[in-house]
Amino acid sequence: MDAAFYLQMTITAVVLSLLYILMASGFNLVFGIIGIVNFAHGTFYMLGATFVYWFMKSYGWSYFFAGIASVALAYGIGWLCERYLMRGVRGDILGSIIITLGLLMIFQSAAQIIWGEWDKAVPSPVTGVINIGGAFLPWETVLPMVGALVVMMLLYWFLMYTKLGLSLRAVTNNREAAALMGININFSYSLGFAIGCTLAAAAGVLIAPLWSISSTMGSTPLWKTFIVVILGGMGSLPGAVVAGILLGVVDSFVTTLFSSAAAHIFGFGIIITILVFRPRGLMGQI
Amino acid sequence: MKLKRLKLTMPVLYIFVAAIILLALPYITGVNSYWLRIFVIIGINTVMALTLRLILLTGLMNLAHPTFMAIGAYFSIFAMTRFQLPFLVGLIGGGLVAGICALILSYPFLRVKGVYFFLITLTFLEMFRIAISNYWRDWFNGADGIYGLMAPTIGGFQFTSLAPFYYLCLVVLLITFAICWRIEKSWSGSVLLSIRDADMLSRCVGINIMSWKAYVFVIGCSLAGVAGGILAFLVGGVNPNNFGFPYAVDIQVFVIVGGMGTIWGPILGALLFGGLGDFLRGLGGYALLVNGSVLVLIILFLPAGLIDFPSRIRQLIRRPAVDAREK
Amino acid sequence: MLKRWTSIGVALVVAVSLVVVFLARYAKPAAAEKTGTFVIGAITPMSGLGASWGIPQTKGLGMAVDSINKAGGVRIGDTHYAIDLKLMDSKLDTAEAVSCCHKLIEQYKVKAIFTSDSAAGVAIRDIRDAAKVIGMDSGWSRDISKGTKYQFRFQPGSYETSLALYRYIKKIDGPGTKIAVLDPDYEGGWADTNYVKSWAKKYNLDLVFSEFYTPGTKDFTPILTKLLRKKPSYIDAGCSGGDYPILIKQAYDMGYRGTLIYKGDTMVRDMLEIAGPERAFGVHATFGLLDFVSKKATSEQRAVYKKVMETVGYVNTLLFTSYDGVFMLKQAWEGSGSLDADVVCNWLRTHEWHSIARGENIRVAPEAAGIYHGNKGCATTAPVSLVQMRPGGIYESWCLEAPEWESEFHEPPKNIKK
Repeated sequence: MDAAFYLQMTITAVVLSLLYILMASGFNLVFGIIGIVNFAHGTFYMLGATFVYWFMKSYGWSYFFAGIASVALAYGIGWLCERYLMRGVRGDILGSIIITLGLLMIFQSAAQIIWGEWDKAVPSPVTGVINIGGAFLPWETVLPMVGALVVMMLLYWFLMYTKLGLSLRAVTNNREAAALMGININFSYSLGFAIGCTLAAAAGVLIAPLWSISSTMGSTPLWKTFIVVILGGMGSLPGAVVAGILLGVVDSFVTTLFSSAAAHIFGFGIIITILVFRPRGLMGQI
Repeated sequence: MKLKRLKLTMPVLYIFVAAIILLALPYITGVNSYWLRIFVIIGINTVMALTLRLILLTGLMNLAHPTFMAIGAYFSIFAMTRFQLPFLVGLIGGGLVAGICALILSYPFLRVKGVYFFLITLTFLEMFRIAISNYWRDWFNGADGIYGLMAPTIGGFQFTSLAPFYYLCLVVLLITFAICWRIEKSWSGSVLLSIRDADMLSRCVGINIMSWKAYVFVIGCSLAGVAGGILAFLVGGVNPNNFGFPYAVDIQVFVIVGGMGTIWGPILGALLFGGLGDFLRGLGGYALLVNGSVLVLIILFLPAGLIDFPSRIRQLIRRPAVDAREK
Repeated sequence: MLKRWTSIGVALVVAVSLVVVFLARYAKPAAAEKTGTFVIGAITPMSGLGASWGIPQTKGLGMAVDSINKAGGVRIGDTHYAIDLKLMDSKLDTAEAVSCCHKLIEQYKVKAIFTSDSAAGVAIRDIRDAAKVIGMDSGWSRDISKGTKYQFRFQPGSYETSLALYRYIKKIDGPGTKIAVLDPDYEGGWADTNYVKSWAKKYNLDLVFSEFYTPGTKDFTPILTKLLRKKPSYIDAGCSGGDYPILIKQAYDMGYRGTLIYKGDTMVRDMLEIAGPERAFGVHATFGLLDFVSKKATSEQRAVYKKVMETVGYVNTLLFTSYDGVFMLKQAWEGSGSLDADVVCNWLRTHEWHSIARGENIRVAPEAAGIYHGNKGCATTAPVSLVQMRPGGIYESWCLEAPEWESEFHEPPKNIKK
């Protein structure tokens, strides 16, 4: 096994890690602020990719504009869902599971009916392949990597350096105190959920040209999100980053060196072990 | 005086009528009819929902419930086909084996609670399914599953129609209901609820929460195993995908949407969604859409579950005037 | 006086015209054609993961049924039967498939059931056989029709396609050619890998790599990293379904310039759109009925292709084979003059009928899991053809079959009833 082999594995690992980090951050944001499990998270990922396809195919927009529009639309849908559907299930994990499950079913079947059940694709704005010492790095793989980093930095900046971000962090920390300080809790909840969905949709938009688009593409990312979130700690964003990197590396290396079934079982085994010995996860707060 | 006598006999009358209907059902629908099959499946689902709720009383949402059903199913199949044991032995054996597995797993699993228990059981569910799909092929036959099972016999009487399945299921259902009712209505029920609501406090009072949790976990999972055995022979075969995430979610929906608060909730949930499932069967791709919309609407308007429906209606009707004579 | 004759004349004319009208309308019952309806059903995934092949099947069946009904239905004796199609979503779950089967049989009294994955086909087989309902399966399991009277496979599975293809590879590339096989991790994929292994051994091809990936994987780079080190000339990606175009794309981007083999349900449009025509060049696809636009297509095939493109808008193999399957049954019902399953199946195994998918007359093999040599008995009702993608997204195809099929038994069976 030479350097090219390991390099290729590392490239794959990086793409996977960034995808997982984006998804897990969105999920953790929602869990941290509202205290619910969003089963429709993978579906927003799918919607992000599907909207990009729709805007690019039906209206001929460029990938960049289609991507922004797609993310904005996902934001809007997330906001509306939280505002009108999810008030009653705040903090109620079981109820939130059922309602987000219902949303999953609605969005998935709607996507299948409206855009068809076959696999679709969007062309990437960049083409060509770089050869790094024997390992292949297509430019269209670089784009999602860069895009994901940009999104993560934007998120970081938003949460750390803006007033809105501060209010969200306050609500996560202590809801009553935040309310006493004059923060509009309802608004924060809707904002948090919408941003969570937007992050999932952003992941979908970035991955769309790399892989293909179908109405069921959200189920595997949802599983992986659960794994990352448990590993890193429910509700912890730094945990999501660390665990995302870890899972990306494990997935890539174990699949390449052994097989994908082994990677699955390995992943599950890790989770069960972690949950038994350190349920908080690597950096969890509860 | 007359009113009081009526009040006493009304519930008894209801029970009497219900019992007659339940016992005569196979002959009302026809012993091999499709509707009877639906009812048997609803019965099995009700057992699963009731046992899930039993475990839920301690605040644990066991997403791996279908796994224990699978253990019971596969065991009863092996008992009949490989060890030539009588069906009933296999069925009860399946329940026992499922219970033993639950006991073993309660050591690692019951140490966590809440969302973490949910996630750990979810993970276990998938791991089990992938494991039996890929390994030990000569036992489990992988994802192809095991089909072509013969009709079972109990004491020389062979199950030639659906009616015996129905009665067997009814018996198991009544036993399950009785167990759940007894546990819930007795002091044990209060203990379980105290574990759910204030576990640290109950620990201080001297309650060993681990053993109580294990107690309901094992009972619930054993009954699930028995239900699994019945399902395997009813359908004529099993397949690891029958015990996967979709079914786990289905049982959860029965319990939560039916209403977690009372023992009638899961029963109502299983009944309604069984019927809904059949209704949706002809809708093709739109079925999922309708299913999802139903879930969203119910949780939106009846967060306490369907069982809450009558009282909600009463609230809506009685809001304008206060009725002094209400019950 | 004239007035009286005029009024009588008018009255007579009116009366005569009324009689004529009456006779024209109601005299028909004497020579009237009787009509009836019967039902056929389909249990196929229409939502979730399997929808990408389930829904095309429902479209193919729907088109066939509409076309038959518009042309007067199925004529048995002096009765014209309209066909009613009932579609059930199996959701890729066998327990659900069994429930759907019971519903179709008991409530709708179906005469035939189409299934598109053999897990469902196997699960319902005993129930269906006991109720004497004809089963038409297009899944991977080759053994589904072995030893049963009422079960037919209407699409070639991996057994047939791998056999034909590997023999072809040996012919053009010689023994010792390196092959890598990659299959999804479920029973269709395992079956495929098993068949591939046995045919590779038989034709002395060098199987250098064999692995399974999780269905729904979008990222093949980890596996490809390992695979490409073995430098195969062919990558056989079995029944990868919708993930296949991504595999083509990623393999190409990683430097692979050999040939890719695809044996699943071909959708050329996907391959061209997702992988791009440049990358899809040279792909060998088997049982592609994309034949329908190649030079070798018959005019009937072209007409069907045109109709499909107009109504449905895309080409899909299962759509065509399902369409053809209904016409196969129609010929059997009309030819045998009965709706009784025993009579119909016996007719099918002893008579030739016209297959649109094959463009010729064929007969189903008596022991449907076998493949016969020389007497045109076919294990499945659709051909194995080889489709090669050419530059610019065009494709050529030709049939890879008889008389080169090998007999599974050492001699053809003797007692075929005429």
